[in-house]
Amino acid sequence: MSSKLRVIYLALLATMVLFPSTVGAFQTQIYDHERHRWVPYDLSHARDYFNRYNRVPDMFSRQIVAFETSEEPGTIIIDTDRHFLYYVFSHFSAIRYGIGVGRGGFGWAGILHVRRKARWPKWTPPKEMIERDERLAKYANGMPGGMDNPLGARALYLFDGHKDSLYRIHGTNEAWTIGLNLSSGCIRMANDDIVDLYERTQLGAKVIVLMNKPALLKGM
Amino acid sequence: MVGTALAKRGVLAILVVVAGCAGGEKAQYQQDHMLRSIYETAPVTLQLACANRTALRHGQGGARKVLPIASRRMENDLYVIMLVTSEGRRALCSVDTAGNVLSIVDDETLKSEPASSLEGKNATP
Repeated sequence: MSSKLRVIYLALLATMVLFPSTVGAFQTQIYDHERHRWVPYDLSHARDYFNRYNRVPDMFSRQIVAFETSEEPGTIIIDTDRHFLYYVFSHFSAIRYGIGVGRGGFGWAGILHVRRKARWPKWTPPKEMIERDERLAKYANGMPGGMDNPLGARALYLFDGHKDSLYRIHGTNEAWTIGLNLSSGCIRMANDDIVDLYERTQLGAKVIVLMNKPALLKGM
Repeated sequence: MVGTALAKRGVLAILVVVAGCAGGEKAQYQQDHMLRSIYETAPVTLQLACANRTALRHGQGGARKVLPIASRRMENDLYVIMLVTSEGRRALCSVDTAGNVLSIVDDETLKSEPASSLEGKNATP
């Protein structure tokens, strides 16, 4: 009987790993009033929405939500697929923020910790990022903090043990990118939201990043 | 007895994935005026409930890291979640929308416990 169950287990593993279509899918859509149908919420629609209403959709605005968890208050939980970041407030509630996440191929999941925080952080593009985009070479020694800096108003630095993962939760001056998959793996938040999260987050806070079918695992 | 019944339901849900019977399920919606999300993945609270239960099974006080890496809705109120441990092992967990973990199947379980004792031990009271 044990071997029979083992066969079932292995078959299921193979099914979920080898045939991704059997694993749950996720998509955010926006109603296109001109075409009278739901379409994927992409950069074009996000920018259009932001220009029209001067804000991101309500779904991505900061709010307190019911959230039953055994994780300790102060833990940060990131739902990459749904573009939400939860700051655990109690075992029954959390503050939910909208986020932007990594584009295709840059998705990851893991368990890391906040070991450093910075206001108006300096940004130094990683070597791999400069290799992908030579225009960034001029910032190889760092870009000072400020409104043009892609890290925005605040940054939380995520570490795997004592090693910098190079991933950050940071602000953005392009608020319309919240809800989209555009980054190189960092978690983007509207500047108001990252300032709020920054004030709440303690050094050492646990950060759990969840993603369906991640390309990479960190801190595991 | 109730726990055993729940566990049987969870194991059945896992078997349905193998049989490929869940493809016709309608996706769930979370709608907000002009924006909506279509998903068949499990809410994060349910994913973490499975991760915590699996961690408790594996180590003292959930010390070992367990991370959900894939999930799928099986029925309106039931999800199956795949997990990976920091030791590289994988496990499958079924959980209902109330957060009741119905079953956990992993290679350690298969090695250390006979199948006859699996369902009862995995059930949430």
